[in-house]
Amino acid sequence: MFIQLLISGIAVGVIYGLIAMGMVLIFRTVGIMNFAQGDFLMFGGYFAYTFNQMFGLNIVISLILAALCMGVIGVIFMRTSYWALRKAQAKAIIVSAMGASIVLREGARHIWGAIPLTLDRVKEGSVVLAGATIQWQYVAIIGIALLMMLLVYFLLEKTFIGNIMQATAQDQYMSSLVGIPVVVSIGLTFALSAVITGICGGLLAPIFFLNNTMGTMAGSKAFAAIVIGGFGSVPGAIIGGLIVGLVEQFGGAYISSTYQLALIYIVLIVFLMFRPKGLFQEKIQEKA
Amino acid sequence: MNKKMAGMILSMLMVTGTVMGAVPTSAAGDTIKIGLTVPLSGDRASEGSYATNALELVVEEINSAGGVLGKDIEVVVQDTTGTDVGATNAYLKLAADDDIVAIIGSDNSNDNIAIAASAEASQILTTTQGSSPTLQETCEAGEWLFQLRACDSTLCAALMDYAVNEMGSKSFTIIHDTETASADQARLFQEGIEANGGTVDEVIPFTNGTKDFTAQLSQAMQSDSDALVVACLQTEAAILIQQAKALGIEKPIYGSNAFGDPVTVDLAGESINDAYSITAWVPDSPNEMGAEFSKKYEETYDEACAKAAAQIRDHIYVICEAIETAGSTDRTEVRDAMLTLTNYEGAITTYDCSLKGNCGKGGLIVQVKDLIPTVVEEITTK
Repeated sequence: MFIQLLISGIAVGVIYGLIAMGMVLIFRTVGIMNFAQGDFLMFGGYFAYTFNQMFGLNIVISLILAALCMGVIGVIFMRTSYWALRKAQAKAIIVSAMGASIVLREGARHIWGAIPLTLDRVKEGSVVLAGATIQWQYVAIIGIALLMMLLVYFLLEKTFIGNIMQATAQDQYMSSLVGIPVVVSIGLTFALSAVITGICGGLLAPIFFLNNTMGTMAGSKAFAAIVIGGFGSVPGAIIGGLIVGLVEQFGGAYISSTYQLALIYIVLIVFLMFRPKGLFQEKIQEKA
Repeated sequence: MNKKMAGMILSMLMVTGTVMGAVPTSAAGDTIKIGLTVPLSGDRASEGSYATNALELVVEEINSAGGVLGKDIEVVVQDTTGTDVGATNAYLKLAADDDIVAIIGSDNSNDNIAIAASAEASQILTTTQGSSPTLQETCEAGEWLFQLRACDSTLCAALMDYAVNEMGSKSFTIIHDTETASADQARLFQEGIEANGGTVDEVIPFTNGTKDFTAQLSQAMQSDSDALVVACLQTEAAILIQQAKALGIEKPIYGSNAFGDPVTVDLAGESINDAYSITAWVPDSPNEMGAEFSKKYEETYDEACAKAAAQIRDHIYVICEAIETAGSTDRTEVRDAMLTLTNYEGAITTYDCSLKGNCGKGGLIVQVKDLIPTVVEEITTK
């Protein structure tokens, strides 16, 4: 049972971590928590369904095409929900994101309907590992998540575009002064965030099934992951996600299956009480 | 134009407007309105999708056959959003419309219990689709609420009787959603098992909205039960049974009505084969009227007819029968006429509305074979 719970906890944990990473990327750039992040997960899943089930494409190709579509959605989201309000109070932008969340949810229901859907797995079946039966889809989730983390690290740390995105995240005004196109950089950040989260939706959909509310719970757990990991920290988001996933699985099995979800938020409260900055303090200094 | 002429014209316009306003609009006078509360958004929006599809078919059927009391019927839908607060708000909006003769509640017992007080206060005939024993008691205690469904107290006991005495399972692990109807079903399953001499090794609850059941199924695997019993809604049922099969759980699974639902079967795929369910309806209905409606539904919408659709069909027809029997759209007369319908044959089952609670007389034990919920035993409530 221990190995079973460990693998399952890591698999869902990396998903929460990736969603949290998407939220952190946006937070670092514009200083606002995106409450529509969970709906990016849902929309990405629906795009993957469209390419896989409606157009009959292979699931891997469907995930790639869904990622491209989510990149476009991310840019549209930035232009409609954030850009016009960028000089307004943070509250206004948060409310705008919450409104966009409702639009995405209800839009998905009108486009794809209310009946839950499913799509192909990356690989069917299960594998036995140390006496535990692990679904190949969980293995695929962990593998693809690790690959995405590496790609994001490479993008942000080793490429010119990544340097631009990081510079914009650190100081938009100075970045604009040195000639960095800030609107492009912010758009790329939103696009990257949407791509990461959308691929997670496509990976989760065969296990948890698609409906227009699937992102709500995942989004709130990702928020817990950010608090635990530390606001503004990308590694913190991943570690926080893993902690949330493992608490969910082990807490549900050994403490209480009824209060499995409540355990996550109890851990969150404990962190807020004793380590409010999270495991990894924010690297970016506050602006003067 | 002088002032005197202008004043005359204005006066004529005012008088004309008053006269026009006094004439009843033709739409309100020519139709009989029935209200319907269903979730069109939220987690249970699929139920609303089936319900609105069904009502289009049924309304067209009834109106093309001459309507009720010589008038067309119109069903006014309000969204419950899948919550009891939303259900109450939706109900109150409909009840405030004086043209609405009766209201159909949603398929969730919790929602219907939430609207019970409003139904009594509004004094409008309300039919409910939920099956919980708590709802049965609520309906029997009131004057205006009718549970047009066989109650879970009978159906769950029948499935456990079958599991123990026909299938030979003696020990069970029960996994259930903590939402009210599923929790009630779990309790009834447990009572049914113990009443037939079986034992319950473990009861494992999970919160509504849980997506990963590794923790629950790992716990279930620790016990040495002969069978699993599961009470939950459609999506959770599909996820749970897929994950159970992936973990190598091969013992028999007996489930609540979600396990025989087309949505669950489509999602779960082959994992759900051989699972048993207690339900009121399957698309391959043994009821002649039901089979006809199911076929028409599938031909029109290119999807299997789920319980949510068949229930709406029966509720609308029962209400129309009550209105015809009353010979009036007066709410009290319609309610009184409803109480006289003791043997009304519907697409799902026969209804005895004089009981107010547990009005449906039958249910089905089904087993999924090659992705088709197949009836293994028909049950008649006592």
